[in-house]
Amino acid sequence: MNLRRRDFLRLGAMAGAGCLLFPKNYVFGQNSPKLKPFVDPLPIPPVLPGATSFDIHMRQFFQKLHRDLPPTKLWGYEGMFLGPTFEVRSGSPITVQWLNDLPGQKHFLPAVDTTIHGSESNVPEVRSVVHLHGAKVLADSDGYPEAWFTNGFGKTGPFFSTRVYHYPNDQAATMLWYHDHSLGITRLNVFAGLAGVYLIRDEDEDELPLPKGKFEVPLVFMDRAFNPDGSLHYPVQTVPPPPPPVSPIWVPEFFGDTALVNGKILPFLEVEPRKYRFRMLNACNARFLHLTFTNATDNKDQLHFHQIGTDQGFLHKPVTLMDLLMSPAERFDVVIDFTGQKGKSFILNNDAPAPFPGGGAPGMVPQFMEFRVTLPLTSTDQPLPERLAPVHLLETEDAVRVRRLTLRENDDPNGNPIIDFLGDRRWNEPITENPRAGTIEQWDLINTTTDGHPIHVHLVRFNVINRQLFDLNVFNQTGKLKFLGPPEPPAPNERPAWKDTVVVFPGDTTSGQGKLTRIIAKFDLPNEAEFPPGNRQQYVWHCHILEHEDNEMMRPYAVVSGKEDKD
Amino acid sequence: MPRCKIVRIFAMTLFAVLVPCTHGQQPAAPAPQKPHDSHAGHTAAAPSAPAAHEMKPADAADVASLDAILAAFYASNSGAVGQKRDIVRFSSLFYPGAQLMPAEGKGHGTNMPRAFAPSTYIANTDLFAAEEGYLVKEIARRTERFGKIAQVFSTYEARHASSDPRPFVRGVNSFQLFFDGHRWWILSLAWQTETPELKLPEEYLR
Ligand SMILES: [Cu+2]
Repeated sequence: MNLRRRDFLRLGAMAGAGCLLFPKNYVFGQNSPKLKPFVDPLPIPPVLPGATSFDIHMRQFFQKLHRDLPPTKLWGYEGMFLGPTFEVRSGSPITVQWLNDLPGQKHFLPAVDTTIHGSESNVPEVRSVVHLHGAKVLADSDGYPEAWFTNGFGKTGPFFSTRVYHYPNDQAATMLWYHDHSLGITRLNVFAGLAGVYLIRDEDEDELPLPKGKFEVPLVFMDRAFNPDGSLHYPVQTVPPPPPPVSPIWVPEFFGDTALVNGKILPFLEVEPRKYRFRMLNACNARFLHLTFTNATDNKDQLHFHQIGTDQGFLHKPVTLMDLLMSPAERFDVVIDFTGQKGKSFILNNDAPAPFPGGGAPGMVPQFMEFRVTLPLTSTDQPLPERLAPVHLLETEDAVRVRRLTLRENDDPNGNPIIDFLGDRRWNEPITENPRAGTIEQWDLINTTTDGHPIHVHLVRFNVINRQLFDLNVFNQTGKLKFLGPPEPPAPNERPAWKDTVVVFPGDTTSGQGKLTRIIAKFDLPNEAEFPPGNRQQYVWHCHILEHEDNEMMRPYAVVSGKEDKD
Repeated sequence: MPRCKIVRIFAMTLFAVLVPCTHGQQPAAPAPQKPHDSHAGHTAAAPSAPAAHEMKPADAADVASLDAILAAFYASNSGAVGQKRDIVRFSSLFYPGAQLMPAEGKGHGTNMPRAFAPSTYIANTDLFAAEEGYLVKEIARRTERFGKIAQVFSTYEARHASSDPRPFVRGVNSFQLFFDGHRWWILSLAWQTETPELKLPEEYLR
């Protein structure tokens, strides 16, 4: 029994004169100042100098996010939004000491909800812990949500064990990203600006004739909302708020009305008429992106996306796409060819419904940035390679276990979402997912909700196997899966490929359909690390809609010793 | 890449309890078809025909009359703290494809009504009912019937516990119903809760 939640609901009901479960409206992030697009150049976060150990400070600072917007108060790594980019070599380990220099006792965004697990009023509000998304690391360096620490390590969470994180970089070339992962306030800390890019390079990549140097550009997409004074606006659910101490209140998703790339609102990039490699990341809290590239003047000419990689490295060969669907935390490595487009401008557009795929939230973020083909050609480029890197898919017959894991929304009787669950369990319930180190498991992610959820499993890379519709009513009533058709193959940019975040699409729930997504992973530790039976490496798996993650759509899981006798 | 074996011992054991997964081994999924290149990225689920349900037939007594089906609806929608509601009985009252639409249900940031399949409504609200208690009953009814069809405005109130002096929510359930010659079916249900700005009028309380 979650008494806090119960008390909160009672208070909410009292606030509504005894006749309301939840007050009526959310305040949406949809009233930001209207800002002229494409007046600021795209910033490129600086690359940290080559080293094997780093001290990275989280600081509060003000930064101009648009020519016409007053400076915005932010939190960022090294006082930057985005944080600086790491560029490391596969197989060459580094250490990072993450230091919390954030000021004050209260979060500067007035949206901490003390009814959320791990965010109670006795937990310090200005806390942080850093997760390197997609990294193959041991648990003590993974940024466990309860391994948080405050300014100067003054207070630490129950799972805190080390100040210095070890990143072995025992994985193939790809783009990871680092961001805050503090239990109960991840959505607010990332929203405040705590995110940055981490590139891993390897010899396979060195040999590929891909655009390099200034022709390789990270594009990190975010949506935010602003007040007229330039400050960030994160909405709270209720108007008026329930009486203290339960205000302010969690919203099920944040959808902002203002698009940013690399921390600038609607920027532009001047390019040469040649190929560019863009390292794309959807770093929005909750917004899916459906991207197209069109000519700015006639909106007709479309540029193709030549996708060469995804979350965990290269595809085996380039895939040419007219549009890209990117869920939060997914990374797409794409080449765009501006050859022959001298003098033209192109817009990167988005038309994904929010929430995805049902839509209905007010406001869209229809554009992200402009590309101007205005620079003279300084060097020619090479054709895209036909082969990139082999992807040796995991075989389902090698899975020692198939786990069925349900994604479920929990509502009040009036149909208002309260929380989402994974595996029908709360964060605080005992661990149920406990793969043995070095073994392969298949996880069947059963979506009973109307939303797509980007599910991220820490530590591992995985292959998407397929998806399949099932009868939701039979499942709800009996727990049995009755399939409504054959398995659907993944998209060409999902398989063959290595992923760490997968869209678990919904079925058409009002027609009584759910949808299941099958993934398969090998639970390898970095450098094949071993540890004695009886010990474990504890990670998490979760939805990467940060509002869902913060409110129970996250579960711990443990990799147990490969030598362990299991059930 | 050189690989070294390292052995590390972790203190995290202190913080968690290992519980074996209750799910047994399932047969592996069929191998996917070989994907082909050059079409668009992943797409959302295509809408298709309503699923063929393996509905357990309703208890005949629950669906023999308008009174009976409404009584069964309120009984199976109610649950005291710690109690699991009868999802099979609740679902059996509805015509396949029926939708439940709360007018004030906000969904995820939309002002349009949400729509639930009957079993999804119970499955999604079971946690609330089990933790908070949800004892709902009818307090007034207006019925229009012509031949096989009926529409019912059914005013309800709900308490967390039967000892609560006042309900925490009231509203109107608007049912569309159908009689097939043998039994009644709920075709659809939309409901509006009372709010501070929208008080239940006297006519819906008698
Ligand atoms: Cu989610």
